[in-house]
Amino acid sequence: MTGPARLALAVRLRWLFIVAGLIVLPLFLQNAFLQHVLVITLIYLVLILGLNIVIGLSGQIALCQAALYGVGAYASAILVKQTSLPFWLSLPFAVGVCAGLGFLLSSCVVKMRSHYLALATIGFGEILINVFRSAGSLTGGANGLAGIPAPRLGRWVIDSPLSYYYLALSVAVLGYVGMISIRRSQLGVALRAVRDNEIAASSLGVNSVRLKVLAFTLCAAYAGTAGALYAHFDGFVGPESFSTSQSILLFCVLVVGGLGRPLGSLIGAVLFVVGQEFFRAFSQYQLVLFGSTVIIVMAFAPQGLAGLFRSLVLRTGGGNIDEALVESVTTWNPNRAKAPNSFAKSATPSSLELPPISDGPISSKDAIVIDDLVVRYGGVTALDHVSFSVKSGEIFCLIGPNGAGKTTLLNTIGGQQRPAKGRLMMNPKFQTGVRPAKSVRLVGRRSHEVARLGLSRTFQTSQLFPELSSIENVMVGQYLHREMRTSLLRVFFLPWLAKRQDTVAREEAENWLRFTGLYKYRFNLTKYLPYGLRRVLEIARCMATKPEVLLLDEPSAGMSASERTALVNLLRTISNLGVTLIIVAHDLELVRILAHHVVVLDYGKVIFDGHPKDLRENAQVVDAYLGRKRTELEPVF
Amino acid sequence: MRDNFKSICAGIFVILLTFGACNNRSANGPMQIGMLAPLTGNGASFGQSQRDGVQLALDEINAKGGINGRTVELLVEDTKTEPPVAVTAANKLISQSKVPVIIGSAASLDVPAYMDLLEKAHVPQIVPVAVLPKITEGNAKWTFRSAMNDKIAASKMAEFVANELHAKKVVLLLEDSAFGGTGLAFGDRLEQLGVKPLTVEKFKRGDLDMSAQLIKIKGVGATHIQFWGYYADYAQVAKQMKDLGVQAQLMGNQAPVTDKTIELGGSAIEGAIDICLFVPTSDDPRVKTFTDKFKAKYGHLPDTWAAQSYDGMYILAEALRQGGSDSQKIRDALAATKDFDGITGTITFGSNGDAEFRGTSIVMVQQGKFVPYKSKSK
Amino acid sequence: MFTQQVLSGLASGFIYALLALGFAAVYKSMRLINFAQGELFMAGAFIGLLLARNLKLAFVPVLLLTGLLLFLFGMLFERFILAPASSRSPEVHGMIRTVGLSVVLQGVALLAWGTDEYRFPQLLSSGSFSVHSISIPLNLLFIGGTSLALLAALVIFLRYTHVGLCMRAASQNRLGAKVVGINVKFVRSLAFGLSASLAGIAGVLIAPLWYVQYSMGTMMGMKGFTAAVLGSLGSFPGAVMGGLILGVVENLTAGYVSSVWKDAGVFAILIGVLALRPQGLFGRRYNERV
Repeated sequence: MTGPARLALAVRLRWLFIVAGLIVLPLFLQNAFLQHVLVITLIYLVLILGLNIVIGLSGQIALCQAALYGVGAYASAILVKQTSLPFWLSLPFAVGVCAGLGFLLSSCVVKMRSHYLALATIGFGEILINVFRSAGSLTGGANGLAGIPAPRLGRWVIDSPLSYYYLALSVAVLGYVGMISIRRSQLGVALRAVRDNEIAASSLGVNSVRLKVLAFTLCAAYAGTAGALYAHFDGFVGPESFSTSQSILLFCVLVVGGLGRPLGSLIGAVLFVVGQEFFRAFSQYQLVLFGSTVIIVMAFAPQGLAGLFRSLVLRTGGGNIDEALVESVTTWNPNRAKAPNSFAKSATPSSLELPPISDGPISSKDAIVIDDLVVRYGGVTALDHVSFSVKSGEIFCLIGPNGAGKTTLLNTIGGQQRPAKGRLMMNPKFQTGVRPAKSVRLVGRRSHEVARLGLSRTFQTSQLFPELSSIENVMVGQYLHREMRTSLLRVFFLPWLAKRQDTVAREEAENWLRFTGLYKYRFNLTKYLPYGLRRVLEIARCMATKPEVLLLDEPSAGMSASERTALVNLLRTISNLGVTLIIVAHDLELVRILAHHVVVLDYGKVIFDGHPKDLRENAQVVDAYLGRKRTELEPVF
Repeated sequence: MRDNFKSICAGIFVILLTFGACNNRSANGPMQIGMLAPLTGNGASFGQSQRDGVQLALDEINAKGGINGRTVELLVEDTKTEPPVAVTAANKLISQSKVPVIIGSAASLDVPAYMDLLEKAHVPQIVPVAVLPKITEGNAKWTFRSAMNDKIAASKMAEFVANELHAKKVVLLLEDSAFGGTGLAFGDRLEQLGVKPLTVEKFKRGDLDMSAQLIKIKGVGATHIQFWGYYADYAQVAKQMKDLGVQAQLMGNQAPVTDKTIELGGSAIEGAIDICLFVPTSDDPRVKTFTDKFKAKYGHLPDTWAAQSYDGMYILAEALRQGGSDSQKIRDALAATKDFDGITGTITFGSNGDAEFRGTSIVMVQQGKFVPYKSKSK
Repeated sequence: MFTQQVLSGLASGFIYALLALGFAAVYKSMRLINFAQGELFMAGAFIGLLLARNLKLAFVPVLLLTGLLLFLFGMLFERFILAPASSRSPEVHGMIRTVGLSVVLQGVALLAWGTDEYRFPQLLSSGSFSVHSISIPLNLLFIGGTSLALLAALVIFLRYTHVGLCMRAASQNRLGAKVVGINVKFVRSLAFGLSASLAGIAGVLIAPLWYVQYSMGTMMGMKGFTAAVLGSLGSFPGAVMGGLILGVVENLTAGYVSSVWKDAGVFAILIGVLALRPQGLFGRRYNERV
């Protein structure tokens, strides 16, 4: 058997081995107490998986997980005690209540910055605990609720630790596989993109608010599941177990285990339970150990133990185990990879199978119309009654001295900045749409909405997603095309279908990478990519959104001459596909070669609007921007 | 990829090893009984008193030859004053250590949590310290409480306040929990006796600032404040009463009768009144013997909880003599306990597992100690 | 009675103010939320306890010495553990490290002193004096006076001394400050040390009125943060105002609404402010430029 084939077999075998081991495990431990501990570990695993989704995947530091756990436990217990409905109904009820609460919580805090959000969630947790303690008639107050019945399946009562183990195991496996599936899917990529760089994600059409709320709700659903499982296992629920310190401990063990990876949740759960149960004699040391471990892990291995495991044992820095194995790159360490130099030599804008974007070269229709735009920052007028229009399919360049307002204009078009007044219209062409293309107002739209209209942009400093690989970065760009996306339900319950859809998406993403010559860096995390390649990757990512208008902010900045040539070729090819290019540039050579249409800004005002070859003759432009020989010494003031 | 395979094997092996290593094997020979006690957490002072009292009794019993010729060994599990931990600890004692009987936790909130476990596993427990009424209000057949049910304490305290103190303007200051809720029983009994409480104020356990409630109490002109809660808050109330100039008589429940109250309350707690089953300064010769032995062993005077635990261990010893290691027989022997003569009174278990009423003591704090109440007029 | 409630609220209000000052100091210089502020407060109370009980020092020396010790600890912690936080989202990584610190501090207190409550020796004269049937605890005067004095000292330090100017510069533009020769590392450590010191002093001030326990810091940290946010994070006078307002509102809630829900009330305020007016009562909303 060849190397790769052996690898693939080992990969498939590992899952079988692990699952078989888990099924057989409790039979080795005849002791009911140890089986009890195993069940508790599984329940915590579900809880920490949820936490991992909201913190590790979406980057929101939520410190109320213990309280949500309590909501799930209480909800299920109260329903069963009040109505004698079976566990199989109270479990979804608990999940629903918890998810609903998570949704409400999240809607309040979603726009807050990370540290504010953390503290707000603590506040929520404390309020919930107060409710647990005070709603005596429902929750039993400080006494808690005892005598919660075990689940029944027909005549069979699931109350022994062994039988409960299998129940908990099935739920935990579902949750674990679910998280793996989410992480791999488009949804997971988009979540991580929002975590890494919310502005960039929005500019690619990702509704970051919606995704963050979704992640939080999902986390709450996991917490509700864990809570219901716990309540019917221990038979008792009391407010002490759901305190803020518990939430903080859960967070600590997750950080140590490894954020963002399901394995990290597993390690975290094991650490948590082992720390509580087996070191009872040393229980006073528990806090000190947990706390110092967090500090040490943050300092030396911020990816947690799971990340350490991956990089030492599996030797992958990013991407997915399967991908890495398939590539037979077991000896490949991204830290020691030869620094990829410019893409210039490998750029082959070849005739690949590219999806058709739109028809034809420059038409006479306007793609973007700007009318009397005014933007102010405090007392400074950045854009002063700016008006011009860009024809569909043309290459348009915006130039001007520093501080003229070029980036501001780009930000205004892209939705990152609101104008004080003025009109900004876009005439989208829907290639597959039935609707006739009509003018759409861009003012007041948020950046992800702008992206969905077909407008994509790059930034002055490349806004990539540092913890994602190149191909994942491009995949974020595909997010706004619905047919590329995998729905959450599918990801969870039909993971193989989701996987198939992702494979299609990945293939297309790879095409874009080939198109820009970055194929061989597809698994590199972008934080390791050098400058020139980052700028091009940003363009590739934009192309994945299949834009009609592409805004580029100083695309050639910092590039060498050969790199610039390759860039020009790339941009020409893109233009030939029918994309309207709006380029902010300082590089007059680039403008001269590429542009069909140029506008010059000076102090927020348009001082030239026409063909590049007329630039040199225009006195105003020369004065403001190009400069001229002084024939005599003129006084400076 | 052999590395991958090997590391997974190693991982599972390590997990099995860790789980297996913690498998406790109970030795043959000495008879083992279990005890759940809050040795850490905010019930720690009660748990430690319980342990001290039980241990003293056990030492005496073992010195006299043990029970039916076997020495008795005590397996203690710390509940950390956290009910879920108590549940796990109870599980451990029952499933792993397989003890035939348990001495129940001193923390009133622990006991209801794990009681069902004992009912299902048919393991009896004797509860010498926890006072929560709920413990014996269900249908538990395997729980026997030798401490004084807090409702009885509430009733007796009300009688004292109405008849001895002749208080007319009384307010209630209750912990907002089931524990503090028993204080309402005090209020009801007081009303029956013709004195209606002016108002009921609540606080959360551990709340360090009671000034809002005390200011309101001062506002209604109360002369007596009946407190129902834990010792730390009791001490805080006393201190803040002094700071805010609230001139009223402070009275409490059973829980604050512990040295911690005096330590935390300092001079502010002088003159406060409480109720309990045992006063170490009593003239009873048996009390004196017990107190001397306790002081010799531990270096300080016993409180009512240690005394109750001492009695509890002796009651249990009698049941063990009759029942051996058989949980059912032990249970039946406990149920049959009648007129046990202990240092905290004569104990008989009723049909609901509760100790029937015996005499109580009203105590007050004087010069940093709990002494029997003496009215100021004497 | 209303006035009495307000006065009582002021006592805890000044303590919240001191904690809030610490939060403001750290945030202003490092854009970091110090999660461990509550635990540093608790540490101050315990250190004060040790000094008062074992070394039998008087109150003012205890106060000053505790402040100094915590100042040094804060500086060292910042220098060796916080500062090396990675450059990617330093806010979050630094915050996680302060979470770790808070857990460690609690753990150490638990190890050393267990879960017991400890009485702080009554070194200040207790009791009160009455003005028109309103009793004013003497402690309140002392706490209030000390807090205001500290605030004044802090403002003078930042505005009029050279070191203070360096701190303000470093907080606004790290690279720029380095370029003009300011030892940014030192300045940041200084800020953190100051914050720890304020928390510790607050602990010593309030300990005689309460009791000292390993868990006393958690709630106080949260409330201090609420006060800081209320008063606009990054503003010193705002922090003090926020603290006082919070203390009074808390007491009034306890007095007129429900004493049991007063903590929840504080958190509701926190969430409300963060959600609806994150710049606090006194601040202005800033737009971020891409």
